Amino acid sequence: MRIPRFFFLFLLFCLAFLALCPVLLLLSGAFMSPRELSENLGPMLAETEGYGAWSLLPREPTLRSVVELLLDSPEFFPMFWNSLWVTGGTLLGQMLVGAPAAWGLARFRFPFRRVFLGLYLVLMLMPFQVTMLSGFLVLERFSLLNTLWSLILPGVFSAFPVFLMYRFFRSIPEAILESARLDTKNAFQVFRYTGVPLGSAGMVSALVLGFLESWNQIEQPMAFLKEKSLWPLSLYLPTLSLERAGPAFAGSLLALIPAILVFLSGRDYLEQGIVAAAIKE
Amino acid sequence: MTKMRRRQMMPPAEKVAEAGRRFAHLRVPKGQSLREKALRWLGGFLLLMLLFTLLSRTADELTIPRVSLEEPQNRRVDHKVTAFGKAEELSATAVLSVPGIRVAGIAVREGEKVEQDEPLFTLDREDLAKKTEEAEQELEDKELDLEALQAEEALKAQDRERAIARAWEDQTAAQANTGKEVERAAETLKRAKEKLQEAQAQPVPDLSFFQEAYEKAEAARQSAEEAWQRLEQEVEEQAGQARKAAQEAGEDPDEAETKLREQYASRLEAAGEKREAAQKENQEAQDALARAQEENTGILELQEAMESAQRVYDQAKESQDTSLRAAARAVEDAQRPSVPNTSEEKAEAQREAQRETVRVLRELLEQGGVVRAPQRGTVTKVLLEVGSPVPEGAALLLADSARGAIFTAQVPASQEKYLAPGGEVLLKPGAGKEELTGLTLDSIRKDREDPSLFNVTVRLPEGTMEIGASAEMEISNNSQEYPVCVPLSALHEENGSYYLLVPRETYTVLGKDLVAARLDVTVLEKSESYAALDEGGLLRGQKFLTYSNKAVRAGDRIRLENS
Repeated sequence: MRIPRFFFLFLLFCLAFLALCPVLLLLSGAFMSPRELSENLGPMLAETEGYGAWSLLPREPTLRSVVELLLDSPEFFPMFWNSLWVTGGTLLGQMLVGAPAAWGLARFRFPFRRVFLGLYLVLMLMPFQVTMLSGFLVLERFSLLNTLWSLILPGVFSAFPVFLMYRFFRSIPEAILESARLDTKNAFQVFRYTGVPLGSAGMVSALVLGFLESWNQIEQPMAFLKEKSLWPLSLYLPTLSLERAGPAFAGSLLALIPAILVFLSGRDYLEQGIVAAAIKE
Repeated sequence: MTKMRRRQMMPPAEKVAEAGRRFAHLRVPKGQSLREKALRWLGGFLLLMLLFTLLSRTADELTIPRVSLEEPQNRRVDHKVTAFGKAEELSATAVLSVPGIRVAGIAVREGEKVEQDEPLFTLDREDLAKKTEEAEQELEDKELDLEALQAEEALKAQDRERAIARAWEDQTAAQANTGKEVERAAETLKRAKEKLQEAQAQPVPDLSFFQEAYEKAEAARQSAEEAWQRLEQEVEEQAGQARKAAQEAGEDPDEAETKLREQYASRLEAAGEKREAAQKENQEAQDALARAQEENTGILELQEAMESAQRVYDQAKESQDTSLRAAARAVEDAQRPSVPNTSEEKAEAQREAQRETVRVLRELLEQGGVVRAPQRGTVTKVLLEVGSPVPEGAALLLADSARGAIFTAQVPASQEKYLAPGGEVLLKPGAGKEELTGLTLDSIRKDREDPSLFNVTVRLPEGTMEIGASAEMEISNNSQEYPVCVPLSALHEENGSYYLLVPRETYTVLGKDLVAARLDVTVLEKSESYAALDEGGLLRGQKFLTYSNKAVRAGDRIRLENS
């Protein structure tokens, strides 16, 4: 029996709604009044009687929380910029270090190439908790603890973007590179003028995914940073309480906006990357 | 030609172009409006965040309190007690006059100084004459009333004496009458006792012995009677049998019976004699018993007679006691002192007072109704009005200037501990007048009407202040020196405990910052401007907040005034 298309659409809509629920809650919470937030969240956070509740549309919509965050919470902005510096530094480093590394692994033949590739794979699979202690010791030896470099440098030398760009560089046909080598013998120029343009989709994909990872990281700052003035935005939200729930929602919303914009700007490349990975030469 | 072959034959440029077409999907697409828009939005968002960063920091700087710091000082905690008061007379004399007489004129004002015998006010002559006449009439009435009271008291005294005498007579008569009755009853009792004792002196037959003897005699009689009856019966039976046997034998039954009876005759006779003896003994025993009972009955009757006489005697005694007690109480009642009657004394006092009133009125009349000052002094209060009658009590008050004046003021009870008699006092009369120094505190007393206030007095030398003039009193009390003193503006209080706000460096998201931290302290002594603290909580050299342009609480971020 043929299943109607409407059923699939409805199912997809439900799944999409479930996935979007946290964002919708965030949106409504950012524009709720403090009284409404206390009523809804009081049973969960302040142990008042009753059960927690929520409404997607605020009964008393107000910009108070947003204004309070933007004008009356000076501690929010240093953390925002810290997140931006860490993320920007990490992405820039990944392009400067990771892209050539991926190009080398993809287009060059050298002894133990597969071993190195295997090591990259293993490193990529390891969670932060496994490498946290060794990373702490290395950073402490280089006197980088309690600085933003303790977040940037491990991100710069991360294995995941290398792996991602490796796949894209690997899919470039050798014939194009041969033709490029006809014009120049300089391997860097081949990489710079041929490899980078053709592998830009992979690089942008790595940038987008790297941005999301770096923007949201929370364990590394908690482990490597002691000074509060260096904390990124991901450590701001857990410090807030029921009394500051409105600014917490507004802060979450503001933290979400750059991630959405970055994703929108790189969505095409992500899709292309998925397609390219499916095409065989 | 295959595709591969065709490709191999292409020139290099065309190969590259063809590869570009084949892998066009790998190139960065151009002209995607959403991506460009997203990038533009991202750029705008970052600019907006930069703007709000600046605005937020500006707003934060505007709201942060600006504070001043000071270090504790080594100084004394001076207590200055100030109060407003006025000079009052040390002693005042009330000028009295006869109330109710119309005032014709008043010759003085409040605050005016007068000499002795100076006219103060004048009473209306006609009214005064009328009042004098009325007073004299009233005096006569009071004298008559007094005489009547005295006569009445004398009669009452006579009646009382008579009542006492009668009560004594009654008591004596009761004693005599009841005494005779008691004597008679005692005599009767005595005789009954004597008879009984005589009867009891003789031996009393033992009734039980006679009763037992009688019972034995009775038993013997019954036994003898029964034996005699059995014997007779036996004789009869034997006689019957003998007659029968004789009849059977053909003999004469009468003869047989006679013969039988002759055989039994001795036995019958013996039994009969025994029976008669038993009856006789029984009778004797019964008589003896009756006589014994009779003797016992006589003693009982004597006992009853004695008991009856005893009862009569007791009743007579009781009656005598009752009568004598009643008579004694009557005597006591008659002799009880009566309630003192003060009517006579009151009447006498009233008469004397009225005499004095009449005397005063006559004097006033002779002086033309003019009331003069009894001594030199200052008129402090005039309680008269021209045309109105003189009120009850004082007509006006005259302060005795010769004895000087006192300054009085009131201070709160909380400041009383800083005052002590003999302490130095400064008076500021104000209005350009010279301050009075060298004065000392005379007394400190709690106000009777308001326990939260204390009345303080300062004796004023003669001529320093006019009576009624006001001034500000200032008393300074210097305490001991304390090493840690802070201004009161820096001291905060919460739930009965004191604390200071001290600056403390903290590291926040915004970097190194100053916050106001709470430092609990113990106050040893406090004045209106400074407080002495216990050194234990506050380190010497530790600065604290004394001034802030905004309200500051513990935990608030602060900025130093000059930073």
